[in-house]
Amino acid sequence: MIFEKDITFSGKHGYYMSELCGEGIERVFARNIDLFMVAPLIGYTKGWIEDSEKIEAELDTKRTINTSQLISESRALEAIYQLVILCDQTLKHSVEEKVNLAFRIPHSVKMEDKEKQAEAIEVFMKYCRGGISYIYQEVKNEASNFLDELENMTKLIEDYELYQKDTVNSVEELGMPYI
Amino acid sequence: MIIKSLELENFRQYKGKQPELKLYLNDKEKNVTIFLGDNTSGKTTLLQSFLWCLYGYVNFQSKDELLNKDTEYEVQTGKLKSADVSVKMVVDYLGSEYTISRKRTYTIQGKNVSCNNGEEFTVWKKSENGDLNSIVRKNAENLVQEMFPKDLSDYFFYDTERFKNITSKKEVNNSVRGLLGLTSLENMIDHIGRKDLSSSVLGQLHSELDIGTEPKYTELIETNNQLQNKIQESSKDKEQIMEQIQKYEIEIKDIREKLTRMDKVSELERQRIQLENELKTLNFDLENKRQRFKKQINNNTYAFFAAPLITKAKDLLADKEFDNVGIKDMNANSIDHILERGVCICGVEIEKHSREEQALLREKEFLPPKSIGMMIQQFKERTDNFLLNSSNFVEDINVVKEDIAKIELEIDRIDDELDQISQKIKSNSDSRTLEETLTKFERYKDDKIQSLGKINAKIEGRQKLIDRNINIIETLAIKNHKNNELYEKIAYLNEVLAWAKKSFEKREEEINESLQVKINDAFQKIYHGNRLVKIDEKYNVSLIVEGPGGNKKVDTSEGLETVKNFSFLAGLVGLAIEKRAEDLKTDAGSEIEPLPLVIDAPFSNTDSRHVSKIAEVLPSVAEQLILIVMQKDFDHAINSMADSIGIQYQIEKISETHTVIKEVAL
Repeated sequence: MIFEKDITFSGKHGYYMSELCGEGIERVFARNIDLFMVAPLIGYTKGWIEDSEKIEAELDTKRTINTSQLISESRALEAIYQLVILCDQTLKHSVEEKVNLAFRIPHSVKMEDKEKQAEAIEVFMKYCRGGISYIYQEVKNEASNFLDELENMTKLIEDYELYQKDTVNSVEELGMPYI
Repeated sequence: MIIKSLELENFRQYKGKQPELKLYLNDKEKNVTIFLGDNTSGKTTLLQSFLWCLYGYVNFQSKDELLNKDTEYEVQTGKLKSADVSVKMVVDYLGSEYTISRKRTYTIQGKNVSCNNGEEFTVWKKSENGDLNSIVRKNAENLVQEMFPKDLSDYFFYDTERFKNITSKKEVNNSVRGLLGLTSLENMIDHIGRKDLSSSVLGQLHSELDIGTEPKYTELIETNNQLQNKIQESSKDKEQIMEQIQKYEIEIKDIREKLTRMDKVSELERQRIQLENELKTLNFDLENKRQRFKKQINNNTYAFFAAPLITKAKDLLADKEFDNVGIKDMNANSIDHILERGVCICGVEIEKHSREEQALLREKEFLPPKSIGMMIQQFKERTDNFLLNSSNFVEDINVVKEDIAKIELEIDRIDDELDQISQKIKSNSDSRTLEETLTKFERYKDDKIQSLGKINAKIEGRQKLIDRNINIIETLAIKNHKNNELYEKIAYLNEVLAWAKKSFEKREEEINESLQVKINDAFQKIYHGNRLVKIDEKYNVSLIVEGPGGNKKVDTSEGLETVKNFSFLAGLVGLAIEKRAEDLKTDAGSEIEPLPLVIDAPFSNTDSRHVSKIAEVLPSVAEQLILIVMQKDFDHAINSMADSIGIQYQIEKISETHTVIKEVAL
């Protein structure tokens, strides 16, 4: 399993996650993990990469995806991770190296591989944080209530589909505008 | 609980001290007591006497005129020095007998007869030796509240003519929960409480955490106390606003009833009720659709967003060849582990240089990290599934979105029609003032509802700040080893709390489902037609019917409302009895006590076929049923319930101020 421990977001991204996720309350995503699985894909596609960022104390909140949730979604998560690593160009790896990072290294016990793996996970997390910020920006855009937020999320989905159709023949250009 | 008897003295037209009315025979098969009476004979007064005895209120317009008029005259003319109005009930509750009594004493004060000494409210408990010992007043009130929850009184002392629509009743969740045995868990959850509530156990433990004396943190604690106080203040304001809303609702209801009785506009008012019910159903549907919309957005979303990456990744892997003969989900570490422990997963021992060891080592060659063919194969399968699962993603979202747009359009149409009806009513000179006042009260009510929303947002915002401050404080506290023991206790309590909440939710969900089934069972027994009764999480009841295109509509005929209301009652009481029987089988016993049903005019507004059906169902669901009914309505019911009647009384009106009740031999 690629993600074996709880994953916690704090600072800006913890706050964004708290504003976007919640079951039974007015939030677009039901669970933190639902956002976690979507964000790196959007982060990659939109070319948004972000490091952790602090936020003013009164907004600071920690959001955690616990191990049991990671286990229950491990198959899909693994595929998402592999997709992002295969497509990424920030590490400037060759195709062989990318394949190794995505498929071989997660199963290796060698120390040097563990380091490579940590580096790859950090790249994945950067896309994830970027994706969270992008989604937050789009969902909260001029929204005065939850219905507006749902509407904005639908718009994001529709735009994404259009974008997908327009660029399906030039996939190499996807996700690269800011990299 | 069973009401064994009732005794009235000078209560309205029940002049003098009436003989004790026995209400229960101790025979489950004969659990029905009937009071027969004509219009204005005192039937409703009889029902009100229960309410006055238990809660000290009545629904008469002249609420303070309880003393019998003849007796009042006797006090006024000096024939009597004083006179008492009293109602006494004897009830069996949790295996003990209680006598509940409320009394007012009237004397002449100047020229008027009045009661200046307040009311005496007493509850006696009968001890095993037969002594009657009174209970302290505060405890007595709590006990009565426990026996007959006040906010459910409209249901268990049911005035069919006043109580037109159960859906418009105030929220009753707490009492329904109590009635169905959820109170213990709820009390437990409240008692453990929250870390930000200093009065709760968790709050107490958190306040004991050692965070040192750094001013930054002590300030945070102070801020939280201030915020907590502000929340309390806002909660009081909130209560006040809710009371005002309720007041406006009563005024609105009153005006609407008057409009219904005005010949020239009654048809318009009827149409308006119909449209409002449609609107209610549409709003209910809209909320459901919005929830579905949210679910849809959360369903396989990642698969949809993965599509462009899948195309790219597949292109990337297209030229590469990989073997795929390994075992799915297995890697070299697993083989190493098997070799190390010397026993295969099938139980065969693996010796050094054996055939088995060779086979395993060969297998390792095809597994990651050495061989990743199988992993890539799996990756392709999974991402293909992503594409498959998300193929209708946008389409499905659009379907729900279109549904929502249609409902919103329909809501706009009905809003316009309602405006037109209001204008028409205003154009009639007789009803203009009433309608204008109605519009005014509705506007006031809307304003208050808006204020309520603002207060709620304020409370929520302050609560968020409190939570954040607590998080900051805890970051420090958790580093201090002195707090280890406290944290262990907190962790334990949190576990218990999580368990209690989970159990509560599970039980509540089960109960809601069973209640829905029970209500519909009763409804189907009484009503012949293709309609369903639906309850929401606040126990609001609505009647639905699948219309063309799946639309749901509410039928609003008075007869059907009565059937719906009785179905709710029957379902609620039936479920309480069933739960009790289940609980009694366990060692823990039951916290649910059977409740009696006292119903005034159960068969009014209902046609004869439904009367006999209602008469058939009610005795079988309630442990005790007391019906106050008109002779003409009773004729349709008698055949269905004759076997269940244990006691029958005749209410005889002697004059406008004097009624007597006589037992009828069966």
